[in-house]
Amino acid sequence: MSKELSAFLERSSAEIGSENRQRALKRAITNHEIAFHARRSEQLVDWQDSRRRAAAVKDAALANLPELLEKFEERFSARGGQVLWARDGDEACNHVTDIIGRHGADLVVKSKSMTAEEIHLNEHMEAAGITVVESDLGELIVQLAGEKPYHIVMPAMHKSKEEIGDLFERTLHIEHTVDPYELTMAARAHLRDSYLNAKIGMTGGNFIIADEGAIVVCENEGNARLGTACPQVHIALVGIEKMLPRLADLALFLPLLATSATGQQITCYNNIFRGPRLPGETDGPEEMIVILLDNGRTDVYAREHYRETLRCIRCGNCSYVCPVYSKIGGHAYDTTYQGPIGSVITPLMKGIKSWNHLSFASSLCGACTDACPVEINLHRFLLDNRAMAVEENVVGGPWAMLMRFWSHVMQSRARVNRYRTVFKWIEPIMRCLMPKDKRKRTPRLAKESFSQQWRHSDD
Amino acid sequence: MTSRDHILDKLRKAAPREPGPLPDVAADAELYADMPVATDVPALLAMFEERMTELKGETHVVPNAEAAAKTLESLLNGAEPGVCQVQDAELIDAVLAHLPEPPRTIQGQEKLADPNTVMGAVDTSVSVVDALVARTASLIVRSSSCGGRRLSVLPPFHIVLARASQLVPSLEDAFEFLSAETDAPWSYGVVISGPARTGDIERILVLGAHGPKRLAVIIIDDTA
Repeated sequence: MSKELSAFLERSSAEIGSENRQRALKRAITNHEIAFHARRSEQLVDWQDSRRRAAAVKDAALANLPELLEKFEERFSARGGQVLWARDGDEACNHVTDIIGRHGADLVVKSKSMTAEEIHLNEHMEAAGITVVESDLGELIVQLAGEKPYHIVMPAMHKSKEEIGDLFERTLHIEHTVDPYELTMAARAHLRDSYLNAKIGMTGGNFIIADEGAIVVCENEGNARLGTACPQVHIALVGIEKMLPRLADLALFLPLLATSATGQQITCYNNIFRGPRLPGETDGPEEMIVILLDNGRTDVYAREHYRETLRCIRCGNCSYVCPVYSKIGGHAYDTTYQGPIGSVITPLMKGIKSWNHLSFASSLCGACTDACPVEINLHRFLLDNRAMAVEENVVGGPWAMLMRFWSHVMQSRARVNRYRTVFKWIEPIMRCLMPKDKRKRTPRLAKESFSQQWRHSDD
Repeated sequence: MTSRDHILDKLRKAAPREPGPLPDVAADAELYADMPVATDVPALLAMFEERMTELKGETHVVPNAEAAAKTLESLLNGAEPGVCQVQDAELIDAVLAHLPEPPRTIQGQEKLADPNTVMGAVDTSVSVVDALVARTASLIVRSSSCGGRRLSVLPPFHIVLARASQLVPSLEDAFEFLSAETDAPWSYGVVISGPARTGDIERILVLGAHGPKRLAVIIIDDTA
């Protein structure tokens, strides 16, 4: 058993066994489902039609990706923006620390970026002596708690207001409160100085717009706005697959993303960054640098069958509907991207050998595929990953042996009958050997098989 | 080989030979069930007001600049005392002309370039917008025409002065507008829909997370 798998099983058990966690998950998921369904029927004429159109636009963007990336680079650069390309996470991290070093800065105010999590950017910056201030409230909470995000859109989904109250009292040295408004205001006050004084602001990017030469960042709090309006330098880190061909495509994607991610009609602030401050403008950063990140995306792209997974707009809806995620939560996955999309792409990007277990930890119910606003056939890809794991012989030894045996027996009626008898004899031995689980009882084998009972029923 | 070449090369090798045309951009009327019933100003105003109220923002529809000035005065009177920062804009000047004695200090355009710490002490801002979107109660704001990037996000109370003729039905119109050629090149634009908010604590809605806690839009209905 790989260490990733045993950690996954251990962590999952702990999450399932925690009443607090289960309560938090249930609350977050129920609220989201209500909001999502209400908004979807209020706002969209036809959800199936909207997601079909969105899938078509993303597929066209992917089909034309090299040209669109070049178009983006040309138009963004024409307005004074800089574009850097990063083959992998290390290169991207080094770009960032180089830029920060060049400006003699030691503080970065950062808005939420799952891509930055993916490349462990914060750790890299901190190792270089740079203080990273997470400005998104959810990210700030997990940063102060020393934890990883629990969900790609709601990082602190697992924390109750009581836990946050305790956390803020301890780390922000404020008077204890569990009032969400007061806690938010405490975060606002805590971050204010960073916005006003930081030289460097960092964001991720929800979309790259080719025809406009722009990066779009969607947020509700205004922290990305503040972190890019005030500092002298804006660094935007964005995966190459975030491409949309035209600004006009946002009229479909912004409401679709908001509906799927938070059940909103539209996110409060949709920022369109076209470059650094222009002559004649009163403020804005003097420099804007976009880092285009590969880090395994071109490998996924090259596998035509899997290219569809690059449509993902990181809405997180698939996690909310997943019966597995709804019990084990985000931390058990121990990956940047959790839930169904994470279970599909993590084995592809980080290796099928160590991560295939995520694709196996599913009932293949297909709720994720139905929930995806860009029609990614998620449960199909989970199955494909399993097939890949078997072909590459990386599924654990005992399991592989068991499956070979099962397939041998099931291919012949006579064998099924013969082995049923064998099973009845060894059942008591197996029962002794199997790990005990207090939460459920393994059913006993019936005295007679169905076909035997059927034969008797005529008597 | 540079990373740029490496990435583009890998993509080109795998990309389809004939990618085909881009799908047409769908009209908002085909996509959205909550479109305004008509595109006349009264219908658009009604929808904007309704949606803005849901977002916990304020809408004040007034008949002329003088009435707008009265509303602005009462908003400033009712708010926390402090500094109000405006931008130079024809509409703002026209409204302020009716307020020879404003209720508090109003700083002009020249202060917009002040350092962050100074701008950070401003309590209220007044700016214009480039367009209003009825369906989503959105403001279309660009850095070159709406007083810069900080004006509409740093101060906790943001007041907008607009004309009803700036209303467009839906986002598709807004993006068409934004894509158009302009004399004033812009580096930053934003679609604003309500005061700043967060739901990160147990999904409980809290306003004023980092951006403005309060948003008030004064619309001069000059079409009546």
